[in-house]
Amino acid sequence: MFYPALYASLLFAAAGFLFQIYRFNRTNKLWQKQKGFKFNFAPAFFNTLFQTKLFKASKTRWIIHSLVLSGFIYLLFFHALADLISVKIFAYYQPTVDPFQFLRNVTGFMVAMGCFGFLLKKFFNVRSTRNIRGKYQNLFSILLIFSLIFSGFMLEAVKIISEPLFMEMVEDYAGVDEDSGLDDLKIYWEKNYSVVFQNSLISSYQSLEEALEEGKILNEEYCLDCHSNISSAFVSKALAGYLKKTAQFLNSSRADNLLYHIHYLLSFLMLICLPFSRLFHILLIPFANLKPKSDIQDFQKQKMGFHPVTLDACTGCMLCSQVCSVYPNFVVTQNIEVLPHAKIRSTRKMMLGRHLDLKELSSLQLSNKECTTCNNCTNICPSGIDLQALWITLSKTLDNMDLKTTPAHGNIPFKKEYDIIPGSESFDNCVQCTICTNVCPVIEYSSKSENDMTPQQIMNLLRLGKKQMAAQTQMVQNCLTCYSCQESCPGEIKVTDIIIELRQAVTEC
Amino acid sequence: MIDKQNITCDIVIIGAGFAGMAAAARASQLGLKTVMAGNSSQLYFASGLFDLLGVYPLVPGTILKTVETGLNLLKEQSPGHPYSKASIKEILQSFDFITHFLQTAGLSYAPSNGKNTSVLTSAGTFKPSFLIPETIKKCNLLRKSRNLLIMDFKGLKGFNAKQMAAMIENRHDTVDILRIELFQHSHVLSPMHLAAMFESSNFLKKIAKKILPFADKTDLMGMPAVCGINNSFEILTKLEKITGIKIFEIPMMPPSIPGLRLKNAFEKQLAKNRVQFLSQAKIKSQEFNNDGFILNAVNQNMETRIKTQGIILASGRFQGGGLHAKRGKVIETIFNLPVYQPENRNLWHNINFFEKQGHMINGAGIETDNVFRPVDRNNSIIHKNLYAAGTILAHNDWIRLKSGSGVSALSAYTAVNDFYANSIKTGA
Repeated sequence: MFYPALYASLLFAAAGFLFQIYRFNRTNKLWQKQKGFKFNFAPAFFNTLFQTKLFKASKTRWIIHSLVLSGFIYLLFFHALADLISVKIFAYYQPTVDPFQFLRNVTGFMVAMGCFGFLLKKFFNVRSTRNIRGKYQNLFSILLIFSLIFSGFMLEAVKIISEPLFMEMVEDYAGVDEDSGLDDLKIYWEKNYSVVFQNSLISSYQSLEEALEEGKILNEEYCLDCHSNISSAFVSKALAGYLKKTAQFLNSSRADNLLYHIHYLLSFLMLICLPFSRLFHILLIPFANLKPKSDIQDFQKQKMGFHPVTLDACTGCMLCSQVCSVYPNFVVTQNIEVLPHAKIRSTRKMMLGRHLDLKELSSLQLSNKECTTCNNCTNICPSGIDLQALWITLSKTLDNMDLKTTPAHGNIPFKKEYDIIPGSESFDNCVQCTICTNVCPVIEYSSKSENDMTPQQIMNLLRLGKKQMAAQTQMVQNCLTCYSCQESCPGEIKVTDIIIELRQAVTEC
Repeated sequence: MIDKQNITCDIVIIGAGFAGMAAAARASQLGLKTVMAGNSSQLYFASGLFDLLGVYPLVPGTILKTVETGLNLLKEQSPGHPYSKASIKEILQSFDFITHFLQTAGLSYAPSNGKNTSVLTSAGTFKPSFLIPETIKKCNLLRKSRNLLIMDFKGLKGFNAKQMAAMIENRHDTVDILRIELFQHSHVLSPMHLAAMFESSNFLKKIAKKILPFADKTDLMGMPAVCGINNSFEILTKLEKITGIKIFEIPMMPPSIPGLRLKNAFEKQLAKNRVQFLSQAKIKSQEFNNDGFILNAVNQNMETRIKTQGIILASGRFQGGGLHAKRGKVIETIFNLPVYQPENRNLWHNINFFEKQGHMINGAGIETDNVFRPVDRNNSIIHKNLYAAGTILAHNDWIRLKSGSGVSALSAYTAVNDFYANSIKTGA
């Protein structure tokens, strides 16, 4: 019964995996594929196992995530696959022997705490994601993991208090009956192992001390090899304490059998759901991390591409939107489509072949044009998705679709000869008064995503003749071209025009 | 693409600094059709304090207490100074007009009673000033204060409470410091962004919470002048009410928020008075005859031809672009008016920066008659309706005398009044 079910669900999972890849690849002709293969093994390994990128991005998230991941890895290999692994390595392996009993409780507790942390963060931590908190997309996966762990603890707790199970074990392993001290063993187990018997013997027994002594000897003889003291199963023991009142009912209805089946069913369900829920990111993060990140030069040489399936490595953590340079734009216009996480949502829909109408497509196209190609999203993405490549590929794809939404004035041609930057007289009036920095909305919102230089510092660099250095700053890429600085400059310096020219200079060389 | 337009008006004010704003205020109040051309961003450099005469006679380390005695002495000793062209009553009148004008725009200044106030600066020093905004006014309680608290913000440049406390701690029993850290990641905090945050009542409560632990042990608090942009005095009063401490603002380095408030107040009220504002416009060419002037003003996307009766030239000095220093001499940039200046470049500056006599270049500028009309070498006026106002005037070492706002206010006010009287006389 067990193995057929396992194989069936494994088969399901594999089929689901192939189906997902097929679904993404169906639309692949629209998406530029990467030419040539190069792999980055080290980051793929470290980021998958230790989430190095997540650690850099957010310590709390890393702690929560590591609790679940490390706990789950132990449970998977040494508990779920015990027959294949634990038994082979440790000759004395028994699930109810320390340290396995203890470790199982610890790791289960870790996973449960991690899930709890996820939920807490989802419900309460609005501020860290500012006002762009999405729906509860990960709720299903988290609840699935949590219920799996919870059913495991319940199963253990019910087994602890179970009288029928005790009797079965005595029959199988201990050669004791009523004459040779079964009552003593019962008393000892009732007292030390929290078994609940229908007729409690402790209260009615005459010589309790004596019986406990006898029970202890019997326990050492028959049981102790396989059953460590249950105090190491600290979670299940506590649960068992709560269940004592309903113990009679649980024991008589053999709740342990029911929970046993539930626990297995949930495991299989999780396996089946792996390719269809957010859990899929477990398999895709290594894949997304294998690919080296592309830069803008790669793209111009037609070397860059984006593999659509890596989009499923997205966990919806929204860190990308928090560091996005276009965030100030969102604050002013409240158009959520300009933010990466919303664009990922729309792109997924599009890739999965769901129909987007012309309005949605053109809105996506216009919003995507706001991207300043600052690379902040790629840098922070804990899943290692090459988001920058996605935006550029997306832009090309949408342009090829001929949506006819390009602005009326078209593209302004830029002269190769820059007419503002070289003239030193352009900056004669600059007294470094910082007014341009003060009115800059990018600087105002840059407390989260670091901005390297302020507009006034860029003007100073240019005044010193360091054009190359000025052009390579993050500020040039982050600029929203809102013209606040140029309008407010007391020296009447064409700050914004200069920054636009600099940006142009970077992309053309 | 440059659009073109034609405007006809009574008076054009060239320059949007303090003098230009004052002239526009008076002209629009008198009902003249007024056009302004210039860059009001220069007001970011204004401290928001109005100086009339801070130091006279020029003895280092002294402060003039009663303005009237200083003015009488100044008139006696330097007849070329713009103040010598008017009576003390007229000078005070021009200030009264401006404070009243700003009051209607919601920016209130504390009355002065003819005396200078010592204002605490962000360097921990004291500076005499004649009229000060209500938000700064309580700094005159400093003398009585025993336990002072100074608040500053981490990352706010040019304002360090610790440094200020070191400068003034011997005047008080205790000087406490409250440093507020708003962002952990960002190391620079811009004053304007901070001032905008003060407009939110939630932020104000957050700040008040940090001040409250000091409420019992302190009687006066100084904070950087960032307490809101538009309703600064109301916000400050609200903060005082929550914390129960008297609070005053300390003016800061540019970009100064009191300067921004001044700019906003002027712009708001001038827009109400229907003054036409050609932002960042430069006067490219001009011609005039007895009837009037024709100016050609150019800004980013507009070329404007202005036909006008009169002009107030308030284009400032070197920083504002009204004067330009060539290798050999200083010229006036728009009308090429004769500029009073030292004979040759060697005389512009003394060798020592802090020379007692000051530097002769600071006395350079446009010489005028008694109603501030520029004159040529023979002391005859250039045009009956061309006036100059503000720092461009000669014999006016305003940085040392601390008389910048006063000269600007007086010259702008007098010039517009005179133009108005003339135009009534000629029946225009």
